[in-house]
Amino acid sequence: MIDDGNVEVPGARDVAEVLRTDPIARVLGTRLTSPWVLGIVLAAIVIAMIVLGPSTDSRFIYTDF
Amino acid sequence: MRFVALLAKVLLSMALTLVLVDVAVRLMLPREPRLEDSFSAAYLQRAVRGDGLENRTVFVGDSALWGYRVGAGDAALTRLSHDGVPIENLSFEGGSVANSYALLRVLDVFGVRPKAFVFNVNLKEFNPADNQYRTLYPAVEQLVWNDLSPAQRSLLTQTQRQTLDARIDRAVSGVWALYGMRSDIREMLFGAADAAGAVAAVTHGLSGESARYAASHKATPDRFLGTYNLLALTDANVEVNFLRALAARLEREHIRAYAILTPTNHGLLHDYIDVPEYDAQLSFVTRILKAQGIAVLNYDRAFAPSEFLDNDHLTTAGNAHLATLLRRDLPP
Repeated sequence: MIDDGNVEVPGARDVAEVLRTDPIARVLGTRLTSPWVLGIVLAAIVIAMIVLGPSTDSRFIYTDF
Repeated sequence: MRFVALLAKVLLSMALTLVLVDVAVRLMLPREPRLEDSFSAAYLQRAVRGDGLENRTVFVGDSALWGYRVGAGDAALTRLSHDGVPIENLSFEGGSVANSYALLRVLDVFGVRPKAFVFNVNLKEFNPADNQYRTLYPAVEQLVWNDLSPAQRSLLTQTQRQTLDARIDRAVSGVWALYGMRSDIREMLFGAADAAGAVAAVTHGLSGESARYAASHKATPDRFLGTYNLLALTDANVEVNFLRALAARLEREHIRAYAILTPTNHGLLHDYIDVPEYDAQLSFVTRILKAQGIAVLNYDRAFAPSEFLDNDHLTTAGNAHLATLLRRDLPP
């Protein structure tokens, strides 16, 4: 069935209903997605990249005879 | 405009978080009993500045003193520390006399005058074929290169890159503790150079590769052919140069100093070093040290072959023996 704007599609949900009930939309709609939290998440990603990143430092490597 | 405000809030939040974490790293990063395998200039600087070294005996030296292939708790210097002897272990894998001199300069640059200065002299490092000959450890070089005299710099091969990105990297490392001490933090967290290295170590252990590697790398005399160069030492030798400079500076600054002639496995190396030329080298360095009033602790033949892992690295029992000798020979 083609939705021409006038005909209700069976199974389709109202947008407001989706925002209220969908788990992902509920998270995105909360304070968790405030710019302050986003900044903390980005900082955590930077820290994780530094700590978990590969060692590329040119250090002395002891040659085990 | 709303987007710019949003972006500014995100960046501000990110910056504040990074600053807070950085403050936490500076305050809470533990002090290890010895330097990590690949310690950073930032970590060394923190160790030199923050530990009241004026009241401690500072040990500087190579892997034989550091405790190669024994746990930090079993290393001789950690044992001394646990017995209440106030020491700071700044020895590291890849040390040499040139590095010991450079570390003394690092202490000097940061205005630190230790209670006493103990270093080891390992004749294998006077061999121009040694892989540390003519170089400083990168973290040490980074801190002290500009404070060496032009003549001293000319004796060394600079390993720090001077490209723009390397300079930026060093500048960022200097102000951002988390970034500057990343190699130390990784080793503390993973017990390896990085997370991938830790996973590889576990994999190699489970697959038996580590055991096969150890079995194929047993210390046999033939592996040390060429480790010691027994030609007569002269002032053309870089290590001799730095030994003279180190002894002279310690004497000039009236720092109580002790030099350890490194324990050496004469049972393993008998065919190579139980010859008059080896003893002549020992006598040569001893004369240089004693001429500047430095006490020499001759441990060259003080250990049984069973106390060694290889030519000069001590077992756990050997490290316990070394700690006993140091307790006996150093003032409390």
